[in-house]
Amino acid sequence: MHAADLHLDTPFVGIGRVAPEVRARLRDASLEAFDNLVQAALDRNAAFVLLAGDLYDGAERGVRAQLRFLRGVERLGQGGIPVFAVHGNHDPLDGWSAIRQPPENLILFGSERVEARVVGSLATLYGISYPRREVEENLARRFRRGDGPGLHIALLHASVNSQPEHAPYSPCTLDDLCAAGMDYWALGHIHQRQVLRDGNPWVVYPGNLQGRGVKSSELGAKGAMLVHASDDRIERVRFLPLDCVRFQEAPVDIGGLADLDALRKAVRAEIARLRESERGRDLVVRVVLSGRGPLREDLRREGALDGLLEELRQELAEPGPILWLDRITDRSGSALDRAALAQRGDFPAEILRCGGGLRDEPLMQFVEERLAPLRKPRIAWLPEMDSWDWSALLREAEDRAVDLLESEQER
Amino acid sequence: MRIDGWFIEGFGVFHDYEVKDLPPGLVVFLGPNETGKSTLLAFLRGVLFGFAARRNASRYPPLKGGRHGGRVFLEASGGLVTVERYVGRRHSLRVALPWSGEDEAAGLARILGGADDKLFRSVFAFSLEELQTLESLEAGQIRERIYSAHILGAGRPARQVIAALEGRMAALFRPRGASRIGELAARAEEIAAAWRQAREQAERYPALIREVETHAAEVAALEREIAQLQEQRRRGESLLALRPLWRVWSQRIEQRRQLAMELDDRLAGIAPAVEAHYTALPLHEERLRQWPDTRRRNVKLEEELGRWYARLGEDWSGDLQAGGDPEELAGEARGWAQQIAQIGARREEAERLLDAASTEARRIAGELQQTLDPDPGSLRERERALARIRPNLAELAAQERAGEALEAARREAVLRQTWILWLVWLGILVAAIMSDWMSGAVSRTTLVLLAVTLLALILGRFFPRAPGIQGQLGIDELRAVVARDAATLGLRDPPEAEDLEAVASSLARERLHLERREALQGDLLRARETEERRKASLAALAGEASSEGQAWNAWKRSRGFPEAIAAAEAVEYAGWVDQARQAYAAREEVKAETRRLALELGAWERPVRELLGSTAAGEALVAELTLLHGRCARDRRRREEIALLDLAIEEARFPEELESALAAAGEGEAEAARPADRLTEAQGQRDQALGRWRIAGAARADLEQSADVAALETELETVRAEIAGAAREWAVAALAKGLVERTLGEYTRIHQPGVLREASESFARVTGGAYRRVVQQDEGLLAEDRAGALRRPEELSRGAMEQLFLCLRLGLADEFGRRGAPLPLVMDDVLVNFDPRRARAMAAEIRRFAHSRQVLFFTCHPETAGMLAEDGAAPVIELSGDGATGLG
Repeated sequence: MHAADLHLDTPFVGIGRVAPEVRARLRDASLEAFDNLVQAALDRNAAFVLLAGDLYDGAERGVRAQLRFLRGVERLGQGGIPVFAVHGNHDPLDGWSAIRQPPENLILFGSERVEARVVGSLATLYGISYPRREVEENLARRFRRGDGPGLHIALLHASVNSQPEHAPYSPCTLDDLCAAGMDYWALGHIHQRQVLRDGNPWVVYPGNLQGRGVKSSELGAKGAMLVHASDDRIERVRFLPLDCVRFQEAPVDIGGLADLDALRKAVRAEIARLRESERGRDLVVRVVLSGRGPLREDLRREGALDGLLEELRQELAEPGPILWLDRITDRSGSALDRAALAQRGDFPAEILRCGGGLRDEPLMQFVEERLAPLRKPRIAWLPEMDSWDWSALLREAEDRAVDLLESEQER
Repeated sequence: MRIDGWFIEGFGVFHDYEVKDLPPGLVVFLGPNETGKSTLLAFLRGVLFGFAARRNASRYPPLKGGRHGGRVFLEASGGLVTVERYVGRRHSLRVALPWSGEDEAAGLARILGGADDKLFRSVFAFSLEELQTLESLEAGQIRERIYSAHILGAGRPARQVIAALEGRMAALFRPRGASRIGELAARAEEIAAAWRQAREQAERYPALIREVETHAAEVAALEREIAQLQEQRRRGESLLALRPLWRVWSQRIEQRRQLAMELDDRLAGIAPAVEAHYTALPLHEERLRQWPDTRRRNVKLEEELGRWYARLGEDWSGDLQAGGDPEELAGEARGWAQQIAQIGARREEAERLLDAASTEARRIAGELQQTLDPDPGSLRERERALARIRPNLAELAAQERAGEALEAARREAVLRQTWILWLVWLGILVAAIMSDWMSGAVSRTTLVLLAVTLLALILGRFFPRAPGIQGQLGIDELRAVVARDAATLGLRDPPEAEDLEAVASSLARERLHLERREALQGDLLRARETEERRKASLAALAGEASSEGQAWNAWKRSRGFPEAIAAAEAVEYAGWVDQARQAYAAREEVKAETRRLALELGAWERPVRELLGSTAAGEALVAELTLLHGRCARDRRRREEIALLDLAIEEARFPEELESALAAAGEGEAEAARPADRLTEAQGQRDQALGRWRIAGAARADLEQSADVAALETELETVRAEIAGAAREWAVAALAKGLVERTLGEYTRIHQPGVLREASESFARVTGGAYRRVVQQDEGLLAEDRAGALRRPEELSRGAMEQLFLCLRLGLADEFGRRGAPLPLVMDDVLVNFDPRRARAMAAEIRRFAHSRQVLFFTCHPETAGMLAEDGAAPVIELSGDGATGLG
């Protein structure tokens, strides 16, 4: 069984204020997902469990998380299942550990060199941990197939190729991995589940064990990979969902929706569909509005979305699995056609033209000028804005300005 | 666009005032003061853009009646548009568009080129006063208006968009004051502080584990030391504990030795006998105490018995020893006394009764003698005669009254019968006479008849009828009876009623006497019988008393009582006998007790004297025995103690090797105490270490269970996400605002030179070249004079400044017209401060301007009108002040 990025006792990123019962559920979700992993390994009598880094979320490694991990490993030990693990950028070896004497069935790879461990005649396992958070070395190149018996499996926390949304720690390429001569690369770090190669060798990111927010890489089912092997050959790799709380996006097109009530009904229908497909599981859902339509102006009104969100939360609250509507993100566009607008030659058209002109060289200068009031007081807790997609934001700003200018007419 | 005319229903001086078919180009309205030029200007502004607020002078209430407001007719590209508006009515705007499919208000806004009231008032429709005011044409504002949406088409003014965006930005963030981001950042700071604290706590975990282990080791070491000290102390304490036992054991051996030396075997031999006598000693002593008292009582009772013998007397022949129930004797004596007393009482009663009976008999006999004695036979006869005579007398009287009545009745009946017979007879006689008369002869019959008649008359006269014989007979008999009875009663015949009453009373008295006498005779007979019975009873009682006396004497003899004693005294005597008997019995009892005591005392003392070899007696002998008994007892106790000591010594016998250790235990006490001190100290240290261990353990357990870090991180991430969202929204708003401002700026930059160029040319022409052009520096306008000097508007003369602003308005209006709809200009006497030359030049500029759009010029100066309408360049409409107009 191959899992990675447990991020035990992890905070959830980008989630707005939640109801107390949802907060408690989120707080324990990563730990319960790990318990699910342990139980699944025991139920299936796994030969061994591979954990490809980021067992804990921070170098601080919360005591609760470490002890929960320890108990899980001990349970696996009682079932005769060894656990092979490497540390990643979130839990490098320079962090402190509450585990003073690891159980015998827990094999933690060091950070100095790629170590090889033989599991009877079944497999030879290779792995290396992060000594510190920032590891820019291509650690994959250190792996070389040895003479051990059975399947040759490599355990690494790394960024294969370029992965958006993830820091490029231990960057490597698929070629680097193929060159090592392994049968299976048990990778970690990328939270989106990916099978980069389905044989010769298998290169697999199982994704994280429990979603951590509403980013695209955190959405959908999360869990571990169940690898079936026979006669030193991997037969198939199957995903096993183990998450407790699932993050989903509910896209709703506002085109054709006459008013907020129609939107409310459309959201409810989408939520019902999600509930049906994720039956029995706790869900955190972000509604994303898209498309164009007259509803756009209603949505732009102060407090319109917040009011709708509150109303939907109340309507959707019911006994059973939790369903929490995180927020309603409005990515809908004006009913006006930008291309047609640009041809009008009036002031809104000038706005679009002006925006278009800014996209070239002076955009960041313009942004810096405009953002100066916000940045000048050096407010802590502001997000890192340099990485924002300012072109997209400018487009939103154009829409906003044009919407406001046009609203008088539409009224 | 052109103003075609208007219809004022009521506004200031105007009432139902209509102007129609105004031509394009310049139109001059000429009228003296107070003919409504300013009113017209306000009316046009009000209908097109809305009337002024309440209480504003420019509302111009209708002075001549009519609805407050009216209509303006506009000639637009699509046809004639009617705009109707009234004061004080919300939504009173009505726009009649000649085309369909467009909203009224939107259509009007489009016709007006998006201009608002302020723009219209500043650029297109202004008075002299507004022309003079700098604020009315503040460059920035007007430029903004012109270059923002209005001038370019329909839509929300750019400045409103900017204000809206600024408002939203301020709500999201402002450097000072409350804002969403500020609040969230403060909240994040709070959570972060708590999170840092929780994390520091979590990072203490390894140290905490070491601390727990250190405390555990410390506790373990102290426990070991405590165990050793406890063992050491137990050993010392054991010796200390044994030493008192050993000391007691040694003391017992010594004690036994001393006791054995004091033993006396002789005492052991006599001890049982001494014990036996000593056991009986309390009884003996009791007897010794009783002896003198018993003797004294014996003497006293002898004396008392003697006194009783004396009281009973010499005639007492009874036996005091006989005993018997004292109550029985007294009871018997009491019985005899009662019995004899009863017989005596009965005799007295019998005698009293006899005496009473005799007295009664005598009394009755005396009374009888004094009572009358009538003859009963005579009395009865007279009583019968009296009883008969009364009814007979009454009967007699009644019969006599009845006979008289009967006779009277009979006589009446006979008389009545006689008369009838006489009448009949007379009839017959008359008939016979008549017949004879008729016949003329007297007949015999008639004679007979006359004879008979005569006879009957004689008879009737001399033989009256006798009474009834029978009634007469009864009365007589009755009278005879009455006479006899009267005789019997001694009364005359017939007796009178009073006499009869007297006789009746006399007879009643006699009858009473007779009855009384008979009763007394009965009583006397019965009294004499009673007397006889009493006498017999008395005789019987005398016999009974005699036999009772004999029995009484026999009883006294049988009881030894003196013969002479009376029954009444017998009870008291019986008491004496009883008490004498008691005294005798008591004397006998004490005598027997004295004898018994003497025997018992001797029975105890004899063997004791033999045992002691003493001759003493009584108390002295007792003292000797007591002394000996004490010695025997002490000897016995010593022997018992020795036996107990032997048992204890044997039971607690110490091994010889322990004896030396115990002998030395006195010195060991200090050693035993020292470990105790250290032990207490070590236990205290151990307890403290345990406390620290537990605290550290609890802290460790808390940390292991704590979800604070995770919870706070989650909360912090939540707030962080909200800050990011707010920051993003702020950034979008800031960019949007920047875009609008930037676009506005570019517009200004591109289009402003045209305005200034137009204004410069006009201004140069009007001033005759005194000023070359108008320029903008920073946000201010400057006029460049012919020498190239730049002057701010306020540095110009009043007229020059007004000329400058009028030229600028013309330029702006021209620019507005190029960008949107060319709106008409409405000016109210704006040339009054110009010198004639410049006024004429400005009039030429206005005329020139009016070539491409409509200009309505209001003036009260005919020369101004003349300048403007020079050579018939413009029609002049005269205002008369009463709402009438005339086209000049």
